[in-house]
Amino acid sequence: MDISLKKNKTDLFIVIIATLVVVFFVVINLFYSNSNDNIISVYYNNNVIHTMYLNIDEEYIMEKESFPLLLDKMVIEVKDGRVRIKEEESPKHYCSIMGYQSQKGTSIICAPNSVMVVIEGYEDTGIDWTPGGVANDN
Amino acid sequence: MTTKMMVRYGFLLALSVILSYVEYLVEIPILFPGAKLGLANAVGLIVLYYFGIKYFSMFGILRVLLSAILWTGFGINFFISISGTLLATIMTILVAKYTKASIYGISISGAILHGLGQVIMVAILYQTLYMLTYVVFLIISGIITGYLMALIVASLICRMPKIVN
Repeated sequence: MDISLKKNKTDLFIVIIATLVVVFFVVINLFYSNSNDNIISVYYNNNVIHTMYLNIDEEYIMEKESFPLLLDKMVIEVKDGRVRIKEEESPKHYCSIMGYQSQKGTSIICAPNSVMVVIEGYEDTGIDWTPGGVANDN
Repeated sequence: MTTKMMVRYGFLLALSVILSYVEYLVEIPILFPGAKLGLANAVGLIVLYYFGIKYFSMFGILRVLLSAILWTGFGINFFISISGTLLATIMTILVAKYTKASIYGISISGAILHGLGQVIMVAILYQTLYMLTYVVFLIISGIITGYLMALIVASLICRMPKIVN
């Protein structure tokens, strides 16, 4: 099989198609993200344990004593219309590295702690898609 | 496949397993959380170039299986890895066989589909479509890392002697 090592027009075509897909997803996301009253659901071990609002600043603290599947204390912060996992203990700290999120439909999944923070956003589409079980795989 | 080719194929497979383990241990921060360079996939591109589609099709799956046997196990990580690898392998073969794309286009399309396959599996395992919002970041990182890997592979192939006659 002969594979060229030099860039050509087909490569550019592939990048353009990928870019168009990105633009499509961004536009769809913007279309569905138009309010500041989005509900934030905090899931622990497959159950909603707390609800917050993007337009109300709040700090929700989860202690290991009350939530035994946590690796350590976790702090979820809502500030200036954005939410983040401020403090957590996990092997690679992906969920806190993700930083602030504000888009509808975005989720911050912290599998090692069995926690998922979801900015709800598709509740009026009529589609039944319940965010579900977060496994403790570490 | 001659014995010589088989030995070289084995060496490349071992190299890709080691590289995937190194990337698993040493997190290189690339663009977004969870995004990786895909150094092991670069070895796959070398296999595709020298050994062809037939041997490339098995390469990724063998790598994931070996990694699972050696250290990661057959838990959630295995299913996420195998789904990404399968989708990337299929896409790479299709692009290599049916288009005139160079190593750059092949690498980029494979990298994008690798991430997409993983996200689809996460969405299935965690029963949430919210994870699909991550697709945008994965496509962007796929373009960048796919290009970088192709750049490395192209310069390696130009510089090193032919490993298959």
